[in-house]
Amino acid sequence: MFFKRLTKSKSASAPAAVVESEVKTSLVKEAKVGVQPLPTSALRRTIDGKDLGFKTTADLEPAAGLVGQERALAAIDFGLSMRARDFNIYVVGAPSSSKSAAVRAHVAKIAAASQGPSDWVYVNNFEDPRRPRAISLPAGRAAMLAKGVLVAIKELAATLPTAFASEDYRARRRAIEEEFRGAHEDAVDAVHARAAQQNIAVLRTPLGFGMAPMHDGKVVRPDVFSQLPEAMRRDVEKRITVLQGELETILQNAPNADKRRRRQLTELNEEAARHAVEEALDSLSAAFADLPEAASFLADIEKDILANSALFAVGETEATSAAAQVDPSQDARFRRYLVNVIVSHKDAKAGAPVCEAAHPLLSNLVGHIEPQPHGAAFATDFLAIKPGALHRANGGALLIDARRVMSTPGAWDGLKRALEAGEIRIEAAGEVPAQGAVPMPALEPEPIPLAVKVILFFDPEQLGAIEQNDPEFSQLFKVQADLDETLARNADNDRVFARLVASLVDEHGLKPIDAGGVARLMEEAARFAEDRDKLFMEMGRISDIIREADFWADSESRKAKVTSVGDIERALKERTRRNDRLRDHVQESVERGMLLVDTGGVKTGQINALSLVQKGHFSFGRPARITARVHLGQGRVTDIEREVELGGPLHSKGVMILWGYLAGRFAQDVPLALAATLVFEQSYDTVEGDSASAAELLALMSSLADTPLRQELAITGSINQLGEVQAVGGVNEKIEGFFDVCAARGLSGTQGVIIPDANRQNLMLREDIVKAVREDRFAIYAIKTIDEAIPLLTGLEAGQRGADGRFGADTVNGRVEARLKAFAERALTFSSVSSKSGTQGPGAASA
Amino acid sequence: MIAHVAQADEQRGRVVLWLGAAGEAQDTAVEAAVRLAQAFESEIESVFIEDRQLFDLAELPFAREIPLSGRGSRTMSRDALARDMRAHASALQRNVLDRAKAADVKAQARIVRDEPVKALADVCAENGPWNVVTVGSAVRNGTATGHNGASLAELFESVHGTTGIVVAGSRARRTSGPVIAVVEELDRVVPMMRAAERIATATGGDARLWLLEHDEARQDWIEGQIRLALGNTPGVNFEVVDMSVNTPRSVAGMMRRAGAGFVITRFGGMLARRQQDVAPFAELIDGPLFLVR
Repeated sequence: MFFKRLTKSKSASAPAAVVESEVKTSLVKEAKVGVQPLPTSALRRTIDGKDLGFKTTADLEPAAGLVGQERALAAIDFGLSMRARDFNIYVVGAPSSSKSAAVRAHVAKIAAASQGPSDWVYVNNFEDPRRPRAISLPAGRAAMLAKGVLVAIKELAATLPTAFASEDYRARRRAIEEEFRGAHEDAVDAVHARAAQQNIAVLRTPLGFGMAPMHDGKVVRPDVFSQLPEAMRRDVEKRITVLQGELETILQNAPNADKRRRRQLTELNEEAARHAVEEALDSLSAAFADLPEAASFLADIEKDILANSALFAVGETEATSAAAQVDPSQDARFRRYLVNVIVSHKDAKAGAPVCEAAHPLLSNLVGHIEPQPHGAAFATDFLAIKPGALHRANGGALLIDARRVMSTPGAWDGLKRALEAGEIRIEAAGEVPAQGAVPMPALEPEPIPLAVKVILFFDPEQLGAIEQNDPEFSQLFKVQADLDETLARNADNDRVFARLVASLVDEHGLKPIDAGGVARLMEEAARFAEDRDKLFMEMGRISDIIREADFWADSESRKAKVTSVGDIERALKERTRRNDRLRDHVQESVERGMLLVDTGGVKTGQINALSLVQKGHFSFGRPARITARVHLGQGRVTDIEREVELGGPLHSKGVMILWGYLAGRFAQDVPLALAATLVFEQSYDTVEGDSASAAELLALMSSLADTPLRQELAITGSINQLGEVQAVGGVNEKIEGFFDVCAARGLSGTQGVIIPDANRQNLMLREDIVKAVREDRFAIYAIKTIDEAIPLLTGLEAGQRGADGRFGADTVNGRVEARLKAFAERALTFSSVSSKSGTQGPGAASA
Repeated sequence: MIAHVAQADEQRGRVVLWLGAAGEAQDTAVEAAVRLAQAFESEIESVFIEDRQLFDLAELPFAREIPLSGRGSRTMSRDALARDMRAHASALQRNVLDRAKAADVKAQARIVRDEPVKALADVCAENGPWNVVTVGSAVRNGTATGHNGASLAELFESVHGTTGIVVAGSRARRTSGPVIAVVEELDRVVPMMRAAERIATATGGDARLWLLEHDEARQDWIEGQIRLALGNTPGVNFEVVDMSVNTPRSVAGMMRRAGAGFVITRFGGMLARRQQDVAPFAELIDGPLFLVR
């Protein structure tokens, strides 16, 4: 409802074609009829600290939470109560950390009274280690299971090597080894012996055995052998062939024998380990017998340890020291048995969790798998699974800032996937291994069922965008909690506000603030709210002022024990001064005549509008000259801002509305045979909003009626097609902007600002303006219709249609009507002359 | 006797590590060679002996090589055999040199093609007389030197430049632990004990003396004599083993329970009377067996 300018500005020469009139205007206050200046009581609602009923904030009980947000609270309570997983909540309001903290506190209060959720752990899947098992346990028992398993494994690391080092075990093992090796070696030796009896040598080669004829214990040399009779050579060869066959058979049977040996050794190992394993795990298994999944996991551990008990058998001399130092999480032999606690709660009575995802990366939300360095490479297993915020909040609520989660790649989609599926599925990052590197097998942990209420924080602009662009949003987030930014002013709410201030003082460890200071803060809160009857409840901004005031109260010159109204004033002043460079620059441009703004005299087709410049939380008003020119035409207004694409759509809409007003009021009997141009002089940046439409209309009417407008007044307000003036934003800053220009040049007593009557409730003007009005050096007028502005700006009556349906000739509306009629007649004349001469336009002439 | 193994700069003996074609080296045997060299500040001469008889075999027209798996026997040839030998030798020697280097022991390697006993005799003669031969492969029944082409008895008989031979059973797995010197005669007490003490400096254990005696009546007298012989040697760990009730096998069990590393005994004594007795005894203990003349 107001137009904004970007902060860039340029100096330029003034437009040359504005008609200036020498008509002297009479003082508005001399006009005893029509709109009267607003009384000072209407310009600012002051608060007297004495009425607040306390001396300092130290007398107050601090207030916390969502004060005055009953509707939003009811929505949150409803959303939390709904079990359906698509009834997630979105909180809409201006971004504020204190707001999310208040929502969190409220949700935490409800959660504390709720049933606590289960613990969750990931354990090894002994059948398929790539797919770790997720196990749910009653609250508080995950840590017990993890600790119990760790203790058991450490114990086994100590006891199993001892079992394997026992004389009994070693003797039995040796017997098995002996039995098999002996049998094998005996058979080989038997072949050796039989060969030796037949004068055949069995020789070992690097890869096996060879056989050769022997004489006197030595291999017969080839040249000697070749001298032997052929029958003898054949006989030797035959015997060697037989012996080779026997040896081959023995060697071929060795693997089978070895298999039997290994099986017997495995059985021996199991037997040796069983007692120690049962000793270590039995009490733990009994403690978790009531939980089938945990019990099954412990049974798996027992089975696996027995099958792989040799993993525990270090050299017995090292056993004692190794057991003392063993860290199962760092020892590849033992990691597989450990328990990775993903979520652990103290107990079920601790209530449901409430978490906040401060950094909502995908991995921080749904968890991730963190590869562990393993030598020069990286390895991963179930212990590398790290939980995310959804795990921690499962069974409770998760608070997320919508802007952050939606601006983080993958995070929003990941969150939606989890909510849609009702489970948390951790997926490997899918990284492509470096060239030549062996890709890691991807881990696929079993998903964990998800039952969480996600509470998203939106600012209103964002909400619109997401609702429009993401249909899944409304399917998953069905509960809106709309936070009011303001609180209606009354005695109770004033007290609540004071208690909120007291809570901020407590929170930041500040000095107490006296009642006058709190009253001043309330005035500022009303100004932030742009409503004299409301208080702005975004306590973050109030907190900033309080802390700065505390700083000034603590300064060398003050050393006060209580922050007073003076400190609050100083804090506000210093803040303004820090942000004021741009406003000073604009003021200076006006004062030095680079930015052309008249604050006296009259001019036709020229008016002072008011624009608002915003820079973060800081905004200020500045006057802007609008000029209008009219000429014969075919009913078209040229909005120059729009033509050069500096005008936003709302501004263009305003211009079209004023054209509609003109047509509706003055062109019932005659066509609008005029063309008009409207421009913001010396405006080089985007103009948006329709708050200048009243000013544009008046400039246009001034030009049409050839009636000059008082330049000592500025006007803001938007109009509708009926000529009613509607409320705009930033009215305080706009008034102050024009006041500052006038004050710099010297207040004449005839200067003032015209505002929509609907904006009266927004007035919380600076004290210096209120003072100037009180001293009749400045005036604020509130109007309901455009006709009410006309006498103020022209000194003439606006005019009403008489019984004959015509406006009075000496009224502005009458003059406008007359001018439009004249345009229409001229257009008619021109049209008939053109048709008689055969020329209908430039194109016809050439034809 | 083993009282002396030459120091590195003496040029009068070395630890000779005998490697051959018979499969992998016995890890503890190689470790024993390194520890001995450390203990006596000597160096290792790692000798891979290519048994010449294998090359004679390869030239026979019907010669075949039966692989260890027993499947896919193939015709032998000198060239293929030589290639396999070199590759095998290279792998074994590299391992030995690496381990010696890690232990800060000087070592050199060579390959000799000859009959094993002759080759060892020649090598020891080059540096004699204070050599110790370490058999690099696990001892086996019968020859007590594995299938390396020579028997233990032959070595003691033919290789003069050696004070003893170290062997290890296939399950020997450590050199650490007490060094047990086994004596049967009083006149060997001092040199055996000194040798045990010296080895213990490298293996980190203590030196112990075990006297094997059949006659129970003589045991106290012998113990007194031994203490007299050892004089003021502090903290001697000394035991008398009654062999009237023990066998080599039970003594081996006692040694294992004592956590013995090196065991020093006389070849031809009660524990290793013949070469056939060596392998069964070595199989029962966890460390290397140092056999002295």
